[in-house]
Amino acid sequence: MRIEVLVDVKTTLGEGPLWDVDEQRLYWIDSFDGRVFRCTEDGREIRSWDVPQKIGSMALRRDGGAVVSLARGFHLLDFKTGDVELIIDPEPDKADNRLNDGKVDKRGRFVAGSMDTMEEGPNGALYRLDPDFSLHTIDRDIIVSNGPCWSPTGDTFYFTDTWTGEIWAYDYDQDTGNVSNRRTFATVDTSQGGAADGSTVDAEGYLWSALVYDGRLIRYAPDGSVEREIRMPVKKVTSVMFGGPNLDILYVTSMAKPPLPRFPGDGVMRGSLFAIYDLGIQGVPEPRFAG
Amino acid sequence: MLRIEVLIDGQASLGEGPLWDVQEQRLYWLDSLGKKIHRCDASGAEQQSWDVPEHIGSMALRQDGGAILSLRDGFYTFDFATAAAEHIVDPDPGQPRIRMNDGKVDRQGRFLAGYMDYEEREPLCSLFRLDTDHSVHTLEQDIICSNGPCFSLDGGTLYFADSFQRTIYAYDYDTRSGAISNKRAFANFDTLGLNGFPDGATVDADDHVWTVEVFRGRLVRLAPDGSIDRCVGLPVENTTSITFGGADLDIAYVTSMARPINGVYPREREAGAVFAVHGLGVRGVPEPRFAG
Repeated sequence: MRIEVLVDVKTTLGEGPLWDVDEQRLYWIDSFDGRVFRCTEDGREIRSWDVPQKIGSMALRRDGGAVVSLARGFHLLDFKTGDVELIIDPEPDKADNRLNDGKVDKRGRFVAGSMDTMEEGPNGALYRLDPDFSLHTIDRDIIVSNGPCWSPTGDTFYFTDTWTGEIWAYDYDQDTGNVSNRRTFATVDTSQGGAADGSTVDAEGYLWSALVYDGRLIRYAPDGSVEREIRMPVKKVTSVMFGGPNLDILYVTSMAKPPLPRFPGDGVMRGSLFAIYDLGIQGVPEPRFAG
Repeated sequence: MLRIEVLIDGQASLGEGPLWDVQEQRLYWLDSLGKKIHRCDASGAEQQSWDVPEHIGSMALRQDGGAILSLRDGFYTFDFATAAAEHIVDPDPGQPRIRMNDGKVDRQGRFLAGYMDYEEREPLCSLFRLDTDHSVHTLEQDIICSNGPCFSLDGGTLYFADSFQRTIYAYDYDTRSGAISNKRAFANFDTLGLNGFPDGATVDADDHVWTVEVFRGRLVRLAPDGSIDRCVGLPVENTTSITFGGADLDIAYVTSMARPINGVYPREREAGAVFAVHGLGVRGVPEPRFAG
């Protein structure tokens, strides 16, 4: 195993690493500063795009461009012009909320949830944006939506409300995109001040979760037991995604500035994009949004 | 930029005592409970290992070849060609609950090493100095677990930790006589807000002290005034010791342990590995050899 600072970019709130197999490029975002980044598997050819609001997540569209969950709604992003166009704001009345983490299901729907920016009240919800741009609420009463991802078959959906200390699993109906049978998949070890943030599922069906503020990555077996841990050079690790030509590099985003003063600081590596090599594990290709 | 790699996936039960020798351009380290000395080059190649007859706490190379060891029951000389360990002296005989632990050579070529309580509970232990004439001198007493002896660049300050007091102490060190005085707390982990325990340590070319926060898996760099300069998290919790090495003395080599703590094995695959940390932007200084 080898851990590297791949890009010393000091994102205020790095999030949402996304490896696109078609382009062979890694995308990630700075949620707080409203920016999308892209680079090659080894951290070269860095490009960035500004978006006009805080950004929670991003997915590429099949025919080009991206769908982004900005603070005030789902938008389309045109990489050529940098323009964003509102699709729909699911929470026009909730000024203290913003849209946060999201990911595409195996059939090309985009699932993203909202969060209370004070990270206190269960004012958020989880949404599904279908390829026809219709919007559906699939869960509610969420404080901070994080880590949506699917089992390799697509039939199980994982999701966490960061401050509940649990990662949940749902049955996921791939034909309809409806969720049911929510249960506790794993109880998170919060003893060192950590909380479950972004996650991904590898080719073996194991779930990787970034334990933000604790500096650990946890790999959970499909039965929810902890298979292994990796400690990172910084405490504020935020999300994970496998990428690279063989899908065997684990990319990890981090946060340079805590969102609220009660969270810990990090040193000179704060906010870096990390790469972990030689884990001997592969990810699966990330689907694009079909709309 | 920072790069942390597993140099040797050694699964050491208790990896300890990393030592870079400038003359040989080789890294030595130990498995204290596995009773082994290991050696490799800066990139982890050309590995060689030697068995020793007892639990091993520390090792230093001698100026004219071979090594000096602190094993469970005292100081030994060691011949790499024959792997023969020869007992010099047991400084603290008749105490089966203690063993010799961490040690290092001062800037004048004397070897300091102390004992630890196997049960890591009671202050049964002392710190000794082995002079170049192989005479032994008691420097400090009432220690639970001796760890991390190292010296300021001018040799005039000895840093030394009692891990289970969670404190690194500083002493005035008389470079002519090897006597210590004026003990004070240099870094108290409670006061500094560090949750782990001080273990092996080294002093870099800027006169800052590097220690490993064992059970919390971080390198901690302390300024000469004892304040935290920076922390670097590592892939495992049970990091045990650090030294700087490589051709430019700018790679931090860090040992770790795979043994269970209170019956629980680490969940990290890399526990017990030797890590190489590149890109810290800090250099070490050459480690002196034992002059005896």
